[in-house]
Amino acid sequence: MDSRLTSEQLEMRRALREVLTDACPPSVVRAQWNPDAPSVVTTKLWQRLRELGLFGVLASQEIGGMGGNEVDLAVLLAECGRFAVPGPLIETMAVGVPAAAELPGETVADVLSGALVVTAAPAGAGWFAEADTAALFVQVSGGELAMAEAEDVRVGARRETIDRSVRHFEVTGGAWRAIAGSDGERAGNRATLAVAAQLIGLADRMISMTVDYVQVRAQFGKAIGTQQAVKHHLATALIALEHARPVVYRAAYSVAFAEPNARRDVSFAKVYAHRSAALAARVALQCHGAIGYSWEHDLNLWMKRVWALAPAWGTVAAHEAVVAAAVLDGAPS
Amino acid sequence: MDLTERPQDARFRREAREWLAENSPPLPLPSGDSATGVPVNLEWERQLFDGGWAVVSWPERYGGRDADLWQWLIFEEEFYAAGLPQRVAQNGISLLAPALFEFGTESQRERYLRRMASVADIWCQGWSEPEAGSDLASLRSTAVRDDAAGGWRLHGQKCWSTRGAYSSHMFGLFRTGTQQERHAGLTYFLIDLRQPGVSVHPVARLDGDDGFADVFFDGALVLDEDVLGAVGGGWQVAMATAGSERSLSLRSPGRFLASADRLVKTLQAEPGKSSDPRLRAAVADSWMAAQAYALSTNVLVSGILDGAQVGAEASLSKVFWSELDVALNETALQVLGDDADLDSPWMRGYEFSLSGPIYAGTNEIQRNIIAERLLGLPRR
Repeated sequence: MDSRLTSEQLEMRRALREVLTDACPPSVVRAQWNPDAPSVVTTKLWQRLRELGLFGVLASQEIGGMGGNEVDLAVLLAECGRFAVPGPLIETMAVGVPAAAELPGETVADVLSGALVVTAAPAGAGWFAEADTAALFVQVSGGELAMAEAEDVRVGARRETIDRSVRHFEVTGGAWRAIAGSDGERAGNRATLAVAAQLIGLADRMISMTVDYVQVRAQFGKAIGTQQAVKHHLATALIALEHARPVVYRAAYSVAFAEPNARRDVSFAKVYAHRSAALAARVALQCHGAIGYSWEHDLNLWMKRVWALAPAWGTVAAHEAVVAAAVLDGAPS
Repeated sequence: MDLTERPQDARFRREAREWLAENSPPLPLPSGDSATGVPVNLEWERQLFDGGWAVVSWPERYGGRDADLWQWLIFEEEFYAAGLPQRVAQNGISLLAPALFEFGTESQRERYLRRMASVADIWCQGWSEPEAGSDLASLRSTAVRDDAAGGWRLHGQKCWSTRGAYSSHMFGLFRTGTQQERHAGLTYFLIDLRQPGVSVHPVARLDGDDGFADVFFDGALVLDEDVLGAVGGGWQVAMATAGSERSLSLRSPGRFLASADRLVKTLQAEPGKSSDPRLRAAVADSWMAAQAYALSTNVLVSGILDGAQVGAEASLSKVFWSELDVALNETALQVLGDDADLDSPWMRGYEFSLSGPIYAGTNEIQRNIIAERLLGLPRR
């Protein structure tokens, strides 16, 4: 028994942090907010992440992937959350690449090389991230995954989400075909887990950002971080985060080893990660005061990512209901 | 991460479950905080010791079975799942024993550990005073040197000592230095309460049980062999105990996992309420909180077994379990609905849970510790 991350996982996280410190400063995140910005998948940031092998975390080494499991996925996406990395991370890493790996031919190699963009969404959503650049569309439901190619679908208007670095487009039509042998439930669990992992990273960064700020900002002749009211806000946010993180990694483990409660554990992870991140956002904003409420301050890039992820891959309420049904009705989970 | 259960753990769990099923007393036991209930609880706790289950993680020579922390957590889960109550021995084995293992002399361990585990001695804590609560380092009770007697003479008053009215011994902090020295002037004593110069006055708690005591000292003697740690080193010893008190040692996850399971069953047993979405959500929240505490404890234990010390992280645990306990019992009262006003086990649980954010260092003090020692914010 050991509930901690392995030294390999810590090393992998350190390597990603090093790259993101250089390649994904807040200015890069903010650049994606420009309505005229090119899709993130065409940027240098995305190129660096591709070269690092990030997108192939769940693909086997024989097909050019990292050969990692869902715990590795969670470690890497939590780190991406710390940097508010923009773009279709969940769609690519948690769903798209594993789905492409089920397809014959060079599809997965093309996705990993960047020659082909894959995107994914829950069945019935009616929109996809990066639909205007994607060549391959994957729909996730409880059964088998369904796929369509760009020429099969009609890409419509942009869906204006609160996080402007997120590019969603309405998608209609499509001759959807089942991907034989694929496991839609597992893909959905991976996507939800990916959301939860990013949320704990976002929470972590908002707390540390605020800890820095309250030591610099002085009122009444001393740093506001010396005041108990401020300390207690931040302590409360840290307590929530430190009790959400183990829930997320437990869920990752449950998915990785196909444990019987994987679905329940993943929903629990989404609920706790969301609550922790939503609380961290509130605390961060309150402790920053008016400057945090301004458009120009970077805090809003992190907060809005949290808000945008709240309903992603199942609303928080839907995931709460999954947990309640598993606990109270013994529903299959 | 490797969450596979070791074969010996499955065996251990089975063995503990079977022993508890065969030997549990008729439940519920009367309150272990009342004069009539204490003897009944002590009889059961002696039986627990005789069966070798009182202190599973201690060395065999002191009555334990050398179990590691994983197995201790398993035992706690089984103990509370069986519906057994908190133990009268608890403050000795959870709070004093870790300090004895870390700072005690061989002779102190020999004299006290086995008797503590077998409830031959009952220990209470003597820290708080009328004027020293959160600001513990300002305490005023004194220990004055008595060379002729080979020890120290105690003077002053301790208060809120849990089960002080039923205890034979107290582990307490007294001032051997000056008031100005604050932390540095304190010494940790192991005190026999059954002697002249000690008077114990029971104090009723919120629930009416005489669960507290005021303990007055007027020249009671502690021999040198009963100083724990160095003279003037009491704060360091006490804070080592505080780490245990705040996290897993005093409040193992098993206690909350069992309460959450009982809450789930309580709702399931209420026809007409078990489909109420608000109650369902509240009960699921309690279940999740208990699980989250267990999962975070597992991370802490993984570190401890790898040689890490529990420091300020214990404060994260303390705030979390104390708040989850209040919320869980509040939810139970909501489920009870019209009968929530009865003096029921859930109401007793609720009353007790309200002490959690206060004892073992208030949650306000814990949040200061978290902010200053984990987040690095300046003290002033």
